Amino acid sequence: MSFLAPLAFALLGLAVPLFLLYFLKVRRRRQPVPSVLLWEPALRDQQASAFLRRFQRDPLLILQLLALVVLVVALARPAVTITGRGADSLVLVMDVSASMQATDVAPTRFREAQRRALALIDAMERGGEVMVVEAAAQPTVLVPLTRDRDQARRAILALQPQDTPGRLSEALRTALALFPRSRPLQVHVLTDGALDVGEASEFRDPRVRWTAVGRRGHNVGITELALRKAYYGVYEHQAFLSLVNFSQARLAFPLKVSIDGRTVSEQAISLDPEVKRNVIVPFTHKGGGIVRVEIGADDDLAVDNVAYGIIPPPRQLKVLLVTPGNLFLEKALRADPQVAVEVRAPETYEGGMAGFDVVVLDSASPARIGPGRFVLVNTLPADVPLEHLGTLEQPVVLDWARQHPVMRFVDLSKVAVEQAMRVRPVAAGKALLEAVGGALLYLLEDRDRKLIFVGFDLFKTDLPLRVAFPLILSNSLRWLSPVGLEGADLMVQTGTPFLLPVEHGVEEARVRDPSGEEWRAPITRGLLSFTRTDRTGLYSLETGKGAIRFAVNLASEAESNTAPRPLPEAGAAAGGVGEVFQFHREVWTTLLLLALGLLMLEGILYWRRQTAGRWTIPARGADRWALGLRLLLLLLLGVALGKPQWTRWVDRQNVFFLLDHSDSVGLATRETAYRAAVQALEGMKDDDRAGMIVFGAEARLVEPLRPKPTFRRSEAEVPGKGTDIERAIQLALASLPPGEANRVVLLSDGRQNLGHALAAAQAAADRGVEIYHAPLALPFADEVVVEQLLLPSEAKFGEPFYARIVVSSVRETSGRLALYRNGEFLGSQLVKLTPGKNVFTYRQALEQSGVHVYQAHLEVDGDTIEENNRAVGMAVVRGKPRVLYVEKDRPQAQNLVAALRAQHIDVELAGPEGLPKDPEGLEKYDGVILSNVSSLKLTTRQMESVRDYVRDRGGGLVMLGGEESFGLGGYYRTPIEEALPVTMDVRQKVEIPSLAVVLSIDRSGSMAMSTDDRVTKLDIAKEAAHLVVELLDERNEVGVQSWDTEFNWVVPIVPAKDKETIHHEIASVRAGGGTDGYPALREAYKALYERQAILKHVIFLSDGQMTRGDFAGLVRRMAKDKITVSAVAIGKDADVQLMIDIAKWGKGRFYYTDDTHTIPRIFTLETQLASKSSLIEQPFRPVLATPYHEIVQEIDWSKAPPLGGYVATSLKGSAEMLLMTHQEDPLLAAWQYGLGRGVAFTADAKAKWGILWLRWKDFNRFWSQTVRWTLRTGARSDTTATVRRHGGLGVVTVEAVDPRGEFINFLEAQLGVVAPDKTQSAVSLEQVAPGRYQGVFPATQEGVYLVGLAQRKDQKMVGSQIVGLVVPYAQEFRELGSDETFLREISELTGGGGLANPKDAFELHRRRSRILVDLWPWLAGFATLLLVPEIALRRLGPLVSYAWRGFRRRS
Amino acid sequence: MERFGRSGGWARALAVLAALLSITVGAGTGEAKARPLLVLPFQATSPGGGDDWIGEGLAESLILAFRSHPAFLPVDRARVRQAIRAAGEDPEGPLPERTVLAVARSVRAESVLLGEYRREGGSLTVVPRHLEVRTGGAEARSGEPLQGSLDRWKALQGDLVRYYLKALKVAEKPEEVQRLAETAGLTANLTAFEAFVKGRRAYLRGSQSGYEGAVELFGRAAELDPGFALAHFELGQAHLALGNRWKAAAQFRAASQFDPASPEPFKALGDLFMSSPRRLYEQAIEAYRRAIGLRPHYAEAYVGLGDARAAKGDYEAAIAEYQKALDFDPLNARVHFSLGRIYYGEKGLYYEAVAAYKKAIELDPYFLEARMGLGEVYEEKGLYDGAIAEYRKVIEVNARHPGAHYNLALSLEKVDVKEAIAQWERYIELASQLPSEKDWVDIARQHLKKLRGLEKGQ
Repeated sequence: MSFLAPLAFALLGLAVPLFLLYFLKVRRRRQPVPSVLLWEPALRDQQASAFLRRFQRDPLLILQLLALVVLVVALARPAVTITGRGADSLVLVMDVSASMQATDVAPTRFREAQRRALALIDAMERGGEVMVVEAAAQPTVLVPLTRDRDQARRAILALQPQDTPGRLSEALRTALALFPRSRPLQVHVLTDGALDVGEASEFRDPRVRWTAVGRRGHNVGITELALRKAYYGVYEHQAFLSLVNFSQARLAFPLKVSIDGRTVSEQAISLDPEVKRNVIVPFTHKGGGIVRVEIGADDDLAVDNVAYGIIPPPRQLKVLLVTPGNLFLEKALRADPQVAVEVRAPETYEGGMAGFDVVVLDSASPARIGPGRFVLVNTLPADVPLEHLGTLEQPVVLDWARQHPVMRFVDLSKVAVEQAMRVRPVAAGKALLEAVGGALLYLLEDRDRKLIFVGFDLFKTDLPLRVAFPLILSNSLRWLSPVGLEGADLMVQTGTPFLLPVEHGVEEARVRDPSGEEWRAPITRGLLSFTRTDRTGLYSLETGKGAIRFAVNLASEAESNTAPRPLPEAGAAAGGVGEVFQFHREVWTTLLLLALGLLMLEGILYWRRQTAGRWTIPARGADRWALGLRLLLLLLLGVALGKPQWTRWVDRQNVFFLLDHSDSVGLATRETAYRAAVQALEGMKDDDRAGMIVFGAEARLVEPLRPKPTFRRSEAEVPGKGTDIERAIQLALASLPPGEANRVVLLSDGRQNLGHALAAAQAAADRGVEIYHAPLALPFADEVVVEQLLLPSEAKFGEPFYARIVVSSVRETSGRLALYRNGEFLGSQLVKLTPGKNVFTYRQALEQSGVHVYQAHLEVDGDTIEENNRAVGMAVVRGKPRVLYVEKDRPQAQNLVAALRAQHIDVELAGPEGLPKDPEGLEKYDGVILSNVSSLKLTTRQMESVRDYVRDRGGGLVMLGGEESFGLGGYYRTPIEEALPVTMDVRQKVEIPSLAVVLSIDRSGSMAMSTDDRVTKLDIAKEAAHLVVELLDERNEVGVQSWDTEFNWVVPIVPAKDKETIHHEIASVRAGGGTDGYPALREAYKALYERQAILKHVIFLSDGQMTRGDFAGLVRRMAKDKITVSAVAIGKDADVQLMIDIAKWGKGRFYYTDDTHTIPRIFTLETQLASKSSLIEQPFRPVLATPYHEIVQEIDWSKAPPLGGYVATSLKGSAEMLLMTHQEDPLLAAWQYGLGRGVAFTADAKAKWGILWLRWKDFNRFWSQTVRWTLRTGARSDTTATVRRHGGLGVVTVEAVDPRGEFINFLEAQLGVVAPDKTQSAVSLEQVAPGRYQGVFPATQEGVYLVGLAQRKDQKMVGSQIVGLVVPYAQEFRELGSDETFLREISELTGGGGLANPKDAFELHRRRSRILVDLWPWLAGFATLLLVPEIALRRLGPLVSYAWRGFRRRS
Repeated sequence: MERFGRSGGWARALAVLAALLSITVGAGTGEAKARPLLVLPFQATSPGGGDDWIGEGLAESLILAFRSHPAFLPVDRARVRQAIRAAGEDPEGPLPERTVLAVARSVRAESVLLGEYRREGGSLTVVPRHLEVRTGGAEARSGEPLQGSLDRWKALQGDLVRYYLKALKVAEKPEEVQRLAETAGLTANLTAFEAFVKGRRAYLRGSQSGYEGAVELFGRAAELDPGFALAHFELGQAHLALGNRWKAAAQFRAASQFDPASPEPFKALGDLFMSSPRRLYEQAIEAYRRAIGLRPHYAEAYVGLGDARAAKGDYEAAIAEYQKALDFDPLNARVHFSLGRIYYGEKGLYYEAVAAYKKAIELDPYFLEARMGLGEVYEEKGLYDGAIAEYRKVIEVNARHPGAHYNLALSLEKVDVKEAIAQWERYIELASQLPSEKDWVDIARQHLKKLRGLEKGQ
């Protein structure tokens, strides 16, 4: 026996007054004396009733003293030492996941689990300790190890099941990490077994016992809900649902899908046992809305029978562009449909956001910009934490942050910058684009400001001309401010943090959960995070700028599958059995009970005495008061037995130090961190407590939280090949007492490569735990890292490409860089390394189909870590590219065909008729070359197919010049012109020769017949005439004649000035009569002969059904007099041969049309031809306009021979002019059109204009580069696959959209994986959304995983891909140095920050801890004290009342 | 010795084999080569006129007979007449021996068939002769006189054919000889035959009146012997020359019905279809094919077929047909002309076109279309001197060739304004008399006006 509060024995002194009170004489009465004679007897009587009397034994006094002693002993907290045997520690891990709500066990599985848990506590050996862990989204230690079973019971009874997926492994891992492996322990997991027990190593720990509560699996659930807006319709959507029947019986139930209460689909579903069915519900909906999906199944689990989806309302991003004038920016911003731009002059802007979402500052320098979201272009306001150091002249781009959202899908390797600002960041940020000498694009982010800095003038770079520019701008705006939220962002799984970027200026947000409870959602750096998503349903988020809804669904097959699965057997090594141990047990409650009994007994006896045994209230006032006091005293003791507590704020700070022991943190740095933690302890105050955790890939509790600890250097071994900050924080959270001023100090380099630290930080924030960080510096002074080996994901057969090796070095050094392909040594090179990033580029070409794995290895003397000097990459070669070469004169195509074939390009030569009529027919080709093919030889359908093939299917298109190409081929305003980088309308730079045109129109009766499209042949002819008139300018002359058997001049040859009149006259032509075109033509000859125009041309429109004249003689003679004649045969019944001959004899062209659609092509072509404005037949040397472009690279253009002519065109706005002619017309132009690329080469590649080029040594290279640049990359299929790594898993996502933009659903998709160790595995892909499929495979080995995919639908192959996933070598060593930005992000999320001084861990922003204090000693003590006044009142009561009465009388 | 002998045996066997091979190859190549024959009208030795049609009739029948034999290539009479005229002789009069040889050489004939005849009442004596040009102008060899009566005219023609086959050393089977003899016998009706021969003479004269006379004479022949297929055929030709296409077509069809084995009417029908305003190329091809079917070595039909193909735009096929025509008739200038036209007009092959035209002119120096074609090629290529020379040669042959005059004026415009003015004036003078040229006179005047303006300006 021992006493925990021996001071309480001082209260035994109260026995003295008690005892003394019993010497007082209680009954003395007042006696008046009438005479002094009676004084003497009265005095005797007076003496007989003296104040004090002799002590008399009173049983009440004994009882009082006894009670006093018992109370005092209780207050001294006696404890007995007991020897126990058996398990001393019981950890109860309670599964609170959604499946625990199943009702197969009455009332629910969870209630059964609670009952079993209580039974386990009851069954514990005497003295055993118990700990309760809740396995929720974040594992929570509800009750740390305690012997207070009641506390544990209370905690268990207070638990409620949640709607979240189970995370038992996390909970188990945390629970186990709290104890050393040597400690005897029984961990009981109370679960329904709705989990994959093989998935975590923790499950196989011998200390773990499993208690299953499930009975059957009778459930059908919605395991997936995804909404996607269709590509082809403005309001078209599709909802994708997965329904699974997990029971052993066939189930039929109704499925209802509604939007905002409006039912869009209602169907009966019948599912066989263990069958999954995917359902697509297409619907049309305008604006935002809420989709509710409900199945009316009568099953054991209700939570998965309803799911919600969100269609986000359309939003616009308001952008202010402050610029002195920048069309690049303005155009790119205006091209974004979700952006509303306002342009202001710099002098009107004085900083701030001015009510906009993002401000783009271009070359405008306000003094300050203040907080907000900014894109700074070529400007650096004073309050931006960047230091301007000077300028960089022609900086060479090294690398860019390829994974950052702003830089996604861009290639900046060839960006040329003339001059840039040289800056040095003052605050932590991230370089997005790095060049030799500094960052060109930089990202800064702090609490109230996010900005992207572009350090160069857009007029001094070619970036705005690249596809990357609008992409970067668009990505930047979306990164800076949320816009166009995807529905998927507003739908999360239960237990997953809801993260949402919010507009600038939103400081606070409130979230109302489905039960109506309101929560405050913290916003850090513009990102709102809300973690209480443990209930399914609709949540509403309200900020100062509006409200939105978001949906939380269970959507977990593992949870919906309520069928109990076999659980692991307990291991034999479960410890703790049979060991003897001792523990203390307090007995104050017994003593209090005893005291309570004694005092009650004493009170009753006294009461009976005073009322003479009657059950009435005592007559005397003092007795009544005394009885009242006794009741109060008893009440106090009764309350004290209830162990009441009260909250008290104390100056206590609990701090956990998390020390990073991953391999990237060197021993010296670990020592520094340890010393910092030890030094921090000096700042502790008396009540403060501290603990220590070390972590790498796993976390270990080295020092539990306790006051005045002495930290030892950790001997705990943690796996160092990874950095999992999340686990470390989770372990700290589990160890910190809730409600107190808790703090975590993270001593790490912040290079997380496992886990999700931000989620753990969010959980910490929710529990009020601050995280502070102290970044650990890079310990390696000479370190060189081969960061990446960059290769194109797919290369064509023989196509040259670059292998880029990105190396970062701490100091200037040199090394030998070796390159290997498929294990074969390719060569090595001595390279010089400068501090920072270095990029080494090697030109490669692969002439073998298949997968090629490259490895780079760098040897550097003095390098510390060897493992990070290797990098691996992969390229897939799909086979020779195939090109369709459509040529008018096939024999003349041989030069180009030979050149391309020599460069490993398969060429298929065809005439115009060989061009497929639909994009599917073009699918087998990677590109199309059109050489001197007139548009009139192609149907509109063929041209549309080519355009769609380029735009929608990523095909390549090259058009070569010739007399029937570009404008001369009638491509003006055709679908093919849309796909080309040039337009056919020619800017007039030179005075074109004057032109006189006569339109000779057949108005005979046969021309009144209609063609298929219900217009007469004459209408077509008149339309043609109108067009010709429209195309001519006033320098030209035009005449219109019409004829049947007679001819007349509708419009005599006049200058094309008064077009109105001419049109009117043409319109007046009416059909009727016979046909004799000869006199009209002869008249046209005579009339034109007289004209002074240099070019004279007749367009002869007829169906050819006419009286024959000597057309041959006439037209040939016209040709001799330089009057050309073109013939247009109209209608299906036209005498085509005659018209062909007329055109041939007349040295003009023949056209055939039977619809009005062809007319514009014919006449624009005719007019261009006639005016000769497009055909420039002069020798010239090509002028290089864009030297960096890959088409023209590595060619000595100074030695390029001259060309003999070209077709004049005009460059389109977004196209690039690579080569130009002597008249600055495009010779070679290129652009990206939709998914594909188009190139225009306006000269030819044959012996006409390009005869000297045929012998040019770079001819083959030039054409190879040109054609290859356009060729389609990627698989020829409707599906695209991407693979990424996420937490040790490779995640493959396949998007399937057909050419019309419709999602391809219900594909059979397979996935084969070859791991770096050559083991093969097959995984099936599951559909997860309309047109989207996903599959995962374990990706833990370092090296290249090859992933082959194939998708089939209805036994037909829809697509196939080969993709690779590179798991870098020595990931822990790949990124060195501390990521302070990330550490700061973690800290700020929790309200913490950086620590400048170790002692600040305790001293900085101290908070008071709220602790609970036991009230019973105070209550019991007060009751003890009350005993004395109560007894005094009893004993002194008559005297007091006598004195009182006397006093009143006197007064 | 034995061994040696055995070896010699092998050598002999090889030699025999080689000889066999060479014979086979030789036979194959020799078969394709036809011998150009110049058949001249037989000259009368009997006094008095009025029966000179007999000599022409003999020549006509020989031409017809040998045309149907692949080994012979009788030169067209129209061309012969042109050559005779060019040699300065009267095509209808007797020719001196030396002129005969010159004419034969100019038309590239290897043999000349000629002879004399004597008519005495109803009997006729024919002395056939032939001349081998290849041997270098040796004297004509005379054969045995052939005697017969006019009543047995057909038999006499058959004998004549037999004689020449023998004289030309062509060994034929008796039935083939008989077939040729039959072919030579055009009609049993002497009066009809006379009308026919006279009609031919009129036709060959070439003028309007000549054609009209020919129509009358052929009509009479056909009337006298309604089954006289050749008369119908020639009547069709005469109608065609007069521009009466319908009548021509009817006669060609009648000819083909009376003598279904004769390819000429089909070939003529093909030509008719070709020149039809309705451009009946398919029908023309069909007709040419039938002609070729009847006479596989019918070079002219191949030329027609080539023209039809070219008209349809199938130039490669046309060239192939022309090549076949050349195989059977290497001396056909028209084939080269057609090739030249395709080479330049359709394929833009300047050198090939010029070579083809030149070949045509070489084979037939009076082939004016070929000269015009060559002139136009030169003109278009800016070689005005060459063009002017060609046009002038055409005018030399045919002083009233309006096309040559027109083109000459145009070419002269480029080199000599004064000459051009003079030429335009000549043209206008000529064209004013020709109804076919009336359309061009106005144009010529415009040119003239323009040139005069230029001249004044200078």
